[in-house]
Amino acid sequence: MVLEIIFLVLGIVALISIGYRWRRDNNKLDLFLIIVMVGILTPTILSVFNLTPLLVQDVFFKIYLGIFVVTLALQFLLYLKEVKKIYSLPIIIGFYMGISVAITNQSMVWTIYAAIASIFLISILIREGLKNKNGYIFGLGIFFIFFSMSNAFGSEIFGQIMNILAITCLLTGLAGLFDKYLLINKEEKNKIRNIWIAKILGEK
Amino acid sequence: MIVEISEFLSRMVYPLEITVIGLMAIFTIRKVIIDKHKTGNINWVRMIIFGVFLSFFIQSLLGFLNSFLNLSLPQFFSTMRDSYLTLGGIAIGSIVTLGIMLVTFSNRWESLYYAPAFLYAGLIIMVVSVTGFDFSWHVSYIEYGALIGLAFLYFTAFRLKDNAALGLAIFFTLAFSTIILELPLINSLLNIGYLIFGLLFVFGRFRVFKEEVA
Repeated sequence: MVLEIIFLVLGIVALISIGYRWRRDNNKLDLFLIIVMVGILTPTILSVFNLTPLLVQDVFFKIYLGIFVVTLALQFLLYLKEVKKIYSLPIIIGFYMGISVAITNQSMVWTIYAAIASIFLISILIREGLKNKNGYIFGLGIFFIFFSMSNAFGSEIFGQIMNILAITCLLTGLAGLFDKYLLINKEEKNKIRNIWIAKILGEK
Repeated sequence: MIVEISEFLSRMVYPLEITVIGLMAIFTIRKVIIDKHKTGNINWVRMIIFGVFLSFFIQSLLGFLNSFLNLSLPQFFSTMRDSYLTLGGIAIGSIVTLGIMLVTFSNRWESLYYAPAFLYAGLIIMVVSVTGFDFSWHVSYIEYGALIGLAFLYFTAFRLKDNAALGLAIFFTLAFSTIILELPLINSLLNIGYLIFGLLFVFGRFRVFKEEVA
């Protein structure tokens, strides 16, 4: 319960800072991420406020929520890569996943799809983050690594710890710490240093 | 006398259909190749129309083999499309899918370009793997998809003043009315009518709108 509350608080902090970014830059990627975060935080909110008994089938609710989150995350990725022609693909896959879960009452197909989609999503986000020296995108990639691990392993405490690690990485990315300490742009740094040296020499 | 004429016509429709639709497919792909040589790019709208005619040709060929020549082919090559996964069923599903794709390409709805293809591929995978070969899904897709596709083809044709979309819409309206109507003589006449119309369309004789879409 304590871990869940920590995750929820950190999640809300992340949500507020993404919301702030969205208002400032009006970037649709932030809006996507807000919806994804709301989807991710919903089961924790239900659990913390003891609202899960209201749901008739808790397992299926979580699966449908998972389908929604993965669909949005993939949509987010396609938007990031500007692959307009296959924008409809995640929605159609999500639609058929929902139908297949409803028909078969089994989550096997969904689990396989979620695993493949997560690997795809994580690898592209981290690659894009490293390539463009963008700490926000890189942090998002790390966030999805830990978040996927929390869902993949059954142990509840391990899952909660992974969730907290995930949200911490996202907050680190949002705070710009990855940009500052990990993804240092050497060219930019050298340029600033040269200007700085030139200034000193000029003054002398 | 009328019964004999309608029987003769309904029997002759099969060889006529494969000849005419085969010709339509050949002329369309020829135009695609000429365009490719001239501009260096593939004209995807024409390519989709070729796909439609090719699927139609496969469907007609199966009808010819099964009903005209009375060959006993494996189940997959039968013309039944209600209870089994058959090549004929897939061909009709492809016609519907390509018809809707033509609408998305003509209207330049880029984010929906491949949506009908994804939807159809997903449907086939789901029918085969999840529903236990329940083909009622496939039949519903064909029926509703055909209606939606036709409505959008007419919409596109009048919105963009596009001869290709209007030609295909009329062609399919005639073709589908032969399935819906149960009047043998009228059916046979409609069959011949849509084939003649198809030829006019492919040879560029059907030009309702004078200005071509860019």
